Amino acid sequence: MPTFVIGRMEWIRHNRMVGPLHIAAGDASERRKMNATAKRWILPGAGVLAILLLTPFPLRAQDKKDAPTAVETKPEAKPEAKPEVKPVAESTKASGNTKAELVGATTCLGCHTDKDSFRKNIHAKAMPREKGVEFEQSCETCHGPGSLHVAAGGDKSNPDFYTIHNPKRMKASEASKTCLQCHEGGARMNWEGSKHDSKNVSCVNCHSVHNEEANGGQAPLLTKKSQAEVCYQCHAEKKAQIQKSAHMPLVEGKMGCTACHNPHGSNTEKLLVKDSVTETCYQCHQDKRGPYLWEHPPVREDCRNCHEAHGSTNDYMLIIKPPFLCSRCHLSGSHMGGEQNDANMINIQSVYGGEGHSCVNCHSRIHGSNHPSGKRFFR
Amino acid sequence: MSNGYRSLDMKATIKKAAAVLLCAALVSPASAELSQKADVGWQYTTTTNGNNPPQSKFDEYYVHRTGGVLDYDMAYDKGDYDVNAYVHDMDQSYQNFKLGVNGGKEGLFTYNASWAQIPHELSYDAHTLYQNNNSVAGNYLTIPYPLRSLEQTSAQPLKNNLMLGYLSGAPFTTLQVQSDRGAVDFVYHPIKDATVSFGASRLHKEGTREVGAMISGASPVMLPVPINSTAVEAYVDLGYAKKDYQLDFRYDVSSYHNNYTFVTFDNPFQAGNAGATPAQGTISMEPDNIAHTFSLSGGAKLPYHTRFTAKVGYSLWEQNDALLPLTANPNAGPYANGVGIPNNAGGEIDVYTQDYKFTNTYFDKFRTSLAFRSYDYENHSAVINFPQGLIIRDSNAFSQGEGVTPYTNRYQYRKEDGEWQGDYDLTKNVSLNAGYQWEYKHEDREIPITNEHTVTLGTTYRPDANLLINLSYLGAARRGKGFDAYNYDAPQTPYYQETPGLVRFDIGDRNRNQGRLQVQYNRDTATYGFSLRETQDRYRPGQVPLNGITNITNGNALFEEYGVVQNDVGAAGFNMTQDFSSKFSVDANYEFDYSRMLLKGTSKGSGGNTSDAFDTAERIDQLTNVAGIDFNVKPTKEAKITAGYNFVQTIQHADPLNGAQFGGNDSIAGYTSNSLQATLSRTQTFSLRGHYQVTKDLGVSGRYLFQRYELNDYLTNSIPLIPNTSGVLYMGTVATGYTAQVIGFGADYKF
Repeated sequence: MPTFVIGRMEWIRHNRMVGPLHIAAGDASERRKMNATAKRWILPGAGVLAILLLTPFPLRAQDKKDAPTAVETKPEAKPEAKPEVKPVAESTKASGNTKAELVGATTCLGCHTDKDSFRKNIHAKAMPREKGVEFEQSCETCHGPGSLHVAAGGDKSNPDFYTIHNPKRMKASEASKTCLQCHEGGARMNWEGSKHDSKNVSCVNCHSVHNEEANGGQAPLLTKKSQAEVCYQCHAEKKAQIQKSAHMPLVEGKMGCTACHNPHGSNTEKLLVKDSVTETCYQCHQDKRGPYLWEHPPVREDCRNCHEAHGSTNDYMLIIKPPFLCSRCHLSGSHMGGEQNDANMINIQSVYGGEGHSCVNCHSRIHGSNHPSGKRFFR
Repeated sequence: MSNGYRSLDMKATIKKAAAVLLCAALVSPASAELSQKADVGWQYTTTTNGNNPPQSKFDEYYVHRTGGVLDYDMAYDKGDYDVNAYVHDMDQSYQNFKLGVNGGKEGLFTYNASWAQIPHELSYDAHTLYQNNNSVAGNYLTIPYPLRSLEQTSAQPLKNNLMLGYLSGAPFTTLQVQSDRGAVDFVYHPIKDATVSFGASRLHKEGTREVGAMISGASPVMLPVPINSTAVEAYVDLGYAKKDYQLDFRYDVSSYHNNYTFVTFDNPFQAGNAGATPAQGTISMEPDNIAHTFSLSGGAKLPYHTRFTAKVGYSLWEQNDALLPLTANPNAGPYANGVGIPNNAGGEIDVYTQDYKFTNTYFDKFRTSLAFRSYDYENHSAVINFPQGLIIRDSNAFSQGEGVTPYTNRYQYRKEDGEWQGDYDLTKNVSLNAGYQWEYKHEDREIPITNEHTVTLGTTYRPDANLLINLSYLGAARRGKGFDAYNYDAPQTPYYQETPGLVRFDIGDRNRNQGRLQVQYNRDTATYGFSLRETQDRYRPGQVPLNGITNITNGNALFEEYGVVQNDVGAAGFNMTQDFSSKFSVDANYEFDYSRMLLKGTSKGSGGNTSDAFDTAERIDQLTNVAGIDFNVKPTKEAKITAGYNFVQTIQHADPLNGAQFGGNDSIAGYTSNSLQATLSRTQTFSLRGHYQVTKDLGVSGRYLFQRYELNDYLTNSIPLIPNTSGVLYMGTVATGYTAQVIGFGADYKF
């Protein structure tokens, strides 16, 4: 068997196939080897993960940066059970080497009357049970002990006024750490080192923690009135793309960016919520998942080979109009006669060309066909 | 013809929903917070598009009609739970709902439920033969009796004329699909730090859309196929999150059921009832399928300020629809011992994923991460052989085409990549970042192995919390191994029979250069953003060896590569939101984007694939401008006025469409191409809205909307329903220009 057929790998199906094989025998073994390699990673990977998660490593509390030495809470100031989530421990020393102490939420709200709605905030409701932080401790859990700030009496010329931590004025990574005290699990598990984190974007760039009813309650805890507008702050080009004539219903407010993207970090490219582009699209387009009897490899691999997910002026959010879309890969063949611009292919009066749906007038099952004679996606 | 919306019996549904909401409102205790708002109005809608009705693009996801408009909002907050509902009715002919319930005790058990509908208007102006009340029976589309019975042999034009008469007299058909989605989610915290989430959703799509179909290898016809499918999904997620380590297990199941996995249709071009062409054609629709996904992910803090995250996952996708009746081929013989055609598709795909990442922040100024990912897509579907090419194409018509002994191709691939990323804070305000990524891909395609190396460099300047400037560069090189150029010529291959040497853009050798500038300024009263992006892809031309095999056409040992040789994409965008005062704010955005692609062709004629005819390349350009500006004015405390204008324009250029005038035709070597032909599409929208709060609870409003869509498409102008006398039957579904205006008045009352 000649070796030039390296592209026809039969891999797993080698053992099942009963028709004539015109492939090198080595290809099947190559594929088996490849699969074995892939699977070889799975078990060790899961094992490593389990071991790491079950091993009581010396944790950050013992490390130099996170040692909670700056706050010494007094029993009378915090009679409740000691919370696992400790108040943020940044520079709590200001004038006179005095250490700040906890004052309690009642004291905070005495001045910050505009934050009174925090009592109904999801944070205030959830923290006692989920994290063992009672309401009275809630403000200083994020903002740090406030006694010096209180003592400054609103005098902004007094350095003690600034001993309170305002995440909006903090370094991005430090501001995010405040939130990650509680939110490092679930969808935020990959925040650290994520694209946004590495670009110095912090939680407060997108979230308004205090005001759950902001923007009419339409976008709780967000800084803008919709999820999309939060993203548009930086991704201006996406705002323009979505205004194009073919788009998903983001403009109409019927879906949001997080249907596809996890802004808090993801293992997948482009912060996708699923493991691949196609799997992300299958969330709503389950019909395209197949597997089909006859498949179209570029379709299976990446929907973006043909579609611009953020919007396009071409029908069906196509990157460019057919037949040019198809001619990127199919420059020769039965219609083209070996010629990229054969008149038969894209003549204006040709069924193959501009009229109707162009190539998909006939190859309409272009995402895959389940018809036995659908090899060329005709039916 | 079945109509998606109406068949859902929305009027009955809306009455029930209204009754439920009304009861909820009436029985609500005084302590609960109930707010309701009803907006009643009337609007006049007019569109102009010659003699055609309104265009689908005007209200693709939001339907406009002339008539009464009702919007009803309700929010009911009982403390432990709240209910919110939205109902929209347009002229009693179109309804839209949204219903949500949230409740529970935060930190213990919470739930939410939602139900929403999304219309998707595809076309209002389609004509089709397959439309009258008695002509559609599920997935069997029939044409009127006189056409079915008409012999069409030498009198083909006669039948075409008859069809044209039917089409001209047929009413416009609305092609639309409505999505109806309900979901429920629960979150339970059994113990501190532990979370159990579970939920389910149901997505039902119903309506009609156009699908092209072929009959016995020729004569395409556009069908209004019925859409009726349901996807049910469910998940359970177990999470345990401590400050220093987190663990999460998740299981997802997604089941898709299509009520019409194939559609049978009468052949309007049948030469005769018992002729060589079949009386009916059959087209497959999307098959039922089911997917299971298991994933285990976790994160942990390690010594030296290192964080480790990992995720391993496994998915199983299955599809096992019956092949019958599409394969009623008596010549194939019974299926036995893997020979012949089985009864079912036997589709199975296994996907294995692994992701590992270390992030280190030991140094205050230096953050770095190292990641490895793999995605293994293994297709274990049964390979089906069709002995001697015996496949039923359509009812009663065999075909021996599709090559010699075709068999189903089971495409599969594996992708692995490793990535290193580092960020260094040069000063308090300036940080630098660099990265390197290597991606390896092994797939069942003509270039089976590709390696891509990517380098990124960037800097972030953040002088204060309000201003962010990012500048980044990306350079990448992708190289393939084992180009299976020769196999294009082999009829048994899964590839089309293309001239050897074709390099596809998604797997060919490529050099990529990308630059990006991003500026963002954000304060309480203003947001300004600017972004600039340019990506240049160059595909490596050259010759590819045939591994010692000479060209079967001209004896060459080397094939010239052809295909996409260049693809440039760029965009520059600006957006701003500014509250100039409490009474006046402006929201504006503008973007220009472009793409240019160059396609290099192979030669034509007796010369085969020779190197002397590769000087030609087709240019395909696409230039788009998008602009929008909104003014928000509050002249008094009670009054609010919003005025906006949006503009979207795309011009596409492409080289002439006649191969006799352009290309590598040897007989016209040196021919200079004609100027580029262009397609223009432009949408302009102007809207004006005003609202005046008469009393605390009563408000009045008015609105005006103007939209003009212009289209000058050199490819799709004036598509005839039956072009000439060829066996092609369209539906006239291609969008054309229109002008639309909507004027409306209303009153809203909060109670």
